[in-house]
Amino acid sequence: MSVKYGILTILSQSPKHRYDLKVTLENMMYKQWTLNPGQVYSTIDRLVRDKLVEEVSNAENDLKLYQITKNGREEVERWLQNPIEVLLLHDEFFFKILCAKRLNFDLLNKMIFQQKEAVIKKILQLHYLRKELENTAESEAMLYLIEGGLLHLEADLKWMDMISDLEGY
Amino acid sequence: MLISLRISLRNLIRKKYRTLFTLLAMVIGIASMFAVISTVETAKKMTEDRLKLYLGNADYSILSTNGTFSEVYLDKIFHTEGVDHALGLMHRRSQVELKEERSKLQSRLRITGLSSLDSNMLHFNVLKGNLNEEGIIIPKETAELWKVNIGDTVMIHFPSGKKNIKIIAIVQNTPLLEGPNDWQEADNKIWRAAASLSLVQKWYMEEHRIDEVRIKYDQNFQASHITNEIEKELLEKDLYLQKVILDEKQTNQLDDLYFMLYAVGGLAMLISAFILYNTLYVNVMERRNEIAIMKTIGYTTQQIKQLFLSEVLILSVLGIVIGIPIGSILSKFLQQSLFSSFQENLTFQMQYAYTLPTVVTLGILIPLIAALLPLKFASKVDIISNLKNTPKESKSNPKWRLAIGLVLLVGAFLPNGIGIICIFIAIFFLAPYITQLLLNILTHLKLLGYEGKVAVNNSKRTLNRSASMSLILAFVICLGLLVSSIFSSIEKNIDKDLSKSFGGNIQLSFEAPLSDIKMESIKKAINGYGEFNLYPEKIVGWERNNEPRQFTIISADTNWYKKYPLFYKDEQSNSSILNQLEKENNIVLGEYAFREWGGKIGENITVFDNNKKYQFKVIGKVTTTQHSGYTAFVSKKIFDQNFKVIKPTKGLINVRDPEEEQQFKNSLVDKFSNEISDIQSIKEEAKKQQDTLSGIKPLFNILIIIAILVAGIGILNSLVISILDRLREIGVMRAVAFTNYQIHKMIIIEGVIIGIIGVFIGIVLGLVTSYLNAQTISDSQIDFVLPIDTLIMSVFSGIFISILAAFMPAYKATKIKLIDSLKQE
Amino acid sequence: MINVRNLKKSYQISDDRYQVLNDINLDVSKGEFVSIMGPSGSGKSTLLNILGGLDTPDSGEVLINNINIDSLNDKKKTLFRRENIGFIFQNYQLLHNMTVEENISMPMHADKINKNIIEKQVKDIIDAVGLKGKEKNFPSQLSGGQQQRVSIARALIMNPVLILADEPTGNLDRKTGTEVLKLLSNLHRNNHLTILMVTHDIYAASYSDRIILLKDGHVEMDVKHEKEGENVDLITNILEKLNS
Repeated sequence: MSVKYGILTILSQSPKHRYDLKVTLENMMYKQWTLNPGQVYSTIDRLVRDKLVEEVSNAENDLKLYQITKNGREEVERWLQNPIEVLLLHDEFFFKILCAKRLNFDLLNKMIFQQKEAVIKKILQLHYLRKELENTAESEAMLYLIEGGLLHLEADLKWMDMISDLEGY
Repeated sequence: MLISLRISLRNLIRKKYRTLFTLLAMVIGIASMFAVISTVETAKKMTEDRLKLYLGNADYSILSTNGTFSEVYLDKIFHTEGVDHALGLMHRRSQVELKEERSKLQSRLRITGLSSLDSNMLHFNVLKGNLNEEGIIIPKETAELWKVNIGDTVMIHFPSGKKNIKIIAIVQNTPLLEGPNDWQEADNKIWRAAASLSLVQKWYMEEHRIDEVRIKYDQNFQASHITNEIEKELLEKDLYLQKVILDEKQTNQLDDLYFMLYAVGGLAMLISAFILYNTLYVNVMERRNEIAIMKTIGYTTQQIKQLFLSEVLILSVLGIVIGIPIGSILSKFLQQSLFSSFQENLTFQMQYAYTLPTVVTLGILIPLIAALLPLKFASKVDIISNLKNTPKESKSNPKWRLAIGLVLLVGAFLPNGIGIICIFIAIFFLAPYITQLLLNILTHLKLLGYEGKVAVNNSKRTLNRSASMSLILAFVICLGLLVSSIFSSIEKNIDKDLSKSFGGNIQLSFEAPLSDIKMESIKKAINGYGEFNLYPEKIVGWERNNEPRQFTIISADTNWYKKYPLFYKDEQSNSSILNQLEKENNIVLGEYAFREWGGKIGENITVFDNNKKYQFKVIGKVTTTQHSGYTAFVSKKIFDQNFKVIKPTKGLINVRDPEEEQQFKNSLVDKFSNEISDIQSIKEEAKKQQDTLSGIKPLFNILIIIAILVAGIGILNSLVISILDRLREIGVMRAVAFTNYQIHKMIIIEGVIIGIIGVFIGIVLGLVTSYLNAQTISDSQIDFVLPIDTLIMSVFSGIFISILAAFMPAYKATKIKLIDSLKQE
Repeated sequence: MINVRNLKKSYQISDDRYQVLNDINLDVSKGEFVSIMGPSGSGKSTLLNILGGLDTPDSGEVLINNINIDSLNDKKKTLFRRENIGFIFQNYQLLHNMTVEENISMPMHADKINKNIIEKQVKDIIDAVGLKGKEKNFPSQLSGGQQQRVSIARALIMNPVLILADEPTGNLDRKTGTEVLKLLSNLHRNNHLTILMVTHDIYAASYSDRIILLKDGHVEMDVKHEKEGENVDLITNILEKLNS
């Protein structure tokens, strides 16, 4: 889904060629994400089918120019304003705990310890990334992501501490 | 170190009131010290100068046991080898008549004839007129009171009849011519005037006679040689040569006064030092957090001490700079009132040479000593607990404290004041336990409501501090009670004491040794009214550490003393002493003389008279008011044996009917105004002592109140510290339930608790020490009197001060914003 | 640079004995920025205090640059602290009767350094922490963040080898705290300082290279940042999570 809305966002700014769209999308994600061209193109087709995007010219495949429709713009706005559903149960760690408790798993303690270690490592890694990013000017959005990540990890640590306490470790 | 001075100044200015108050205390301390030391220094110098002036720098005197001798000797002496100067004198009494009517007592005049009026042995500073005419010379003050000027005449009664005598010169006051300062004093003091010797001889029809020759030796000759030469000239038996000894103790026994002055000055300084100590302590306590930070940063304890020390030094220097000028004003005032009360109207110059450096040194030294303990405390500040503002657990007292206290308490029964010191030290050790006990009692009383309960608990938590403050109050009250009871007992016993050693009920002294004729007429006058005893006394010299001194030996008629003694002793009854005096060369010394002599009973004392040595065995020390105790008694028999028979110059009378005492005295004065130089009845003396005592008592009560005030400051500071430690706690109380009024009440109760405990301990201590003092002190003058007025005053002022002292801390505790105090942790 | 061996410390409060530090072993190299975390009562502040010579251990060894702190006498400890260690506290611990300048220059005055040298150094460091223009202000005239900067400046003025920070952002809001942490981070990078920071906030701890967790008086976990990049995975992981 994020490919769909990524394309819509880019087209909101200006019409683009198909290949261009892929590159811009990748750049937006700081080249952290290599996209499958097939996935991109099929998404574009779907968008055209749904009347959210329209073709501008009738050239060859790669040189086709696309632009966003009025419906498309409205769709982007609606998507932006809609809150993301907050899902708790998707945390894999929680699922592991559920299973371990069910099994009266003896080494719950060690499990938590190792997860905690992993979380802390992640935190330090995020900080390293943050230091690198501080040197470039356009990194604002990315920084938000990192800060958000840190906060999530902070919450995870606190949750793990709480479980340790409740379990009597 | 400049930064620390700047910071110190800033710190001082931040706490304006506290700094000002401490400075005030220091200024008062320094000014008092200065005034007192300068007064003593001036008094000593003045006494010395006076004596020199009075004796005219003479080295020796020639006198006669018969009173007068031929003027021929003056010439002889004058021309003796080695004599630098010689002055002939004749003293005679008369009455002076002025324009205003005056009583006979007030008109007594003594004229001194001098062989040379401008002799450099006299130091006459002529203000008006000149010495070359015929007439009398009077001092300025006398001229002012008589309302006369040079050229005026006054009527003087001579044996040869009344004469109008001209006033030829007015001079600056000198001891030789010193008269009364006002007409009231003239009741007891004689006017003096000088005139040329020949004139006086003419007036009194005693041509070519003199009373005394004063001699000044030439320094270039050996003194013993000159003395020999002179003695060769003294052909007649009644003439004797006497060395002039400057013993200031004879005329001015100011030692006790000096001691009292030093005590008062010292007390003032002590009080200001205590205030400084207390304030500094609070300062350090308040700034514990600051000190902890500085230690963290890397300031050594030495450097931290230096910071506080520089604050102390700034205050000291300011105290000295402000205190000394104020002190010199105070000093002037003190000296003027002091010397006028002694009826000295000599102009005096204030002496600073010794005073100034002493006061400056003390002004720096004493604050430094006062700062020692607080500085030690500053260095011991624990970093961690003070960074986090956590109150430290108070340590409990070691067990040996209780043990030592109890042991010392037993020592209370030791005599001679040691017992009292033991009690004081014991109470110091036992204070926390006593306080604890009393606090427990207070808890049970449940008088003061919930706030009271909390207050008592708070006091228990800071037991040592509360105990210390109560103790200081207690000591002040105890001291007050002790001294007050001593005063009361002295007051009660004035009459009793006086009668023990007055020698009768009238004492008199005569101008000159009485002739037989005179003696007869006096005896006749006294007859019918009572008994009398006329006796001589003699000034002898003695030596102390090679320093020549002199005192008076009194010829004691043991029979008279058996009825009306002139001295008393309580351990050995008088009769035993009197018996012993009859035997051999035994002597008893008055207390002051005994002290100055420094020997023990049973030892011998050597006295000189005219280069002849006399040895006596000291068999006792007695209390007497004669010559303020700087005197000795030998029996009449021994006196006459050793010294040539001297005609009496003193007399004791015992009037049978006490109602007639005053009347009789007046009639005596009337009849023998020319012979009597001094007369005093026992009633007058008693009244004089009463007046002095009534004069001292209010002064003393003021001192006690000041001391209680100072103790109050101690209580205030102690409460402030206590509050500082509990800010958060109090904040919680206020936030949860308590109104400001209730907090006020709680803190004031804490103050009152300290006050009550202090007053209680003080009263108990005071009564016990007064009682012990009365029992153990050898002086039977003191017995146990309950000083009710001081007691009541102490109780009220003690409690009042502790309430007052609690106001400021209470206000401080409630003034702080609630939020800030809650954040304190 | 710091070596701690078998460190033990306990406190007695009335009848209870609390074993605050129970056999701590720790090594910190020069230039590391270490965070010490743990629940309250875990002994983090105590460890810091002992390292700074403000508290003494019951047993064990504490070496800073191979000098055994505990063996020094009181005066030597103070001098060592003055020249080698800088403290930063949660409540800044500034002296309220001194200006910013005076607060910062305090350690230099204690060392009796020449006035001119002091002036220059203070000026430089005031610039470095971003307090230019506030030299003559008193702490009461500064915000929390500014006060902490003064505290940092004071800690750095003597060019210490070690900075000990006890909850430096504890009294600050997140935004100001972040500024202060960034400042510390920069100073760490530019001046190659060794920093030991006690904090209960993982967010603050994220600014360091190494996180040590204390629990019940001993080291529960000691996590260093491994420089090998796993960065690509970071974003992908998060975005994948968002996707699913």
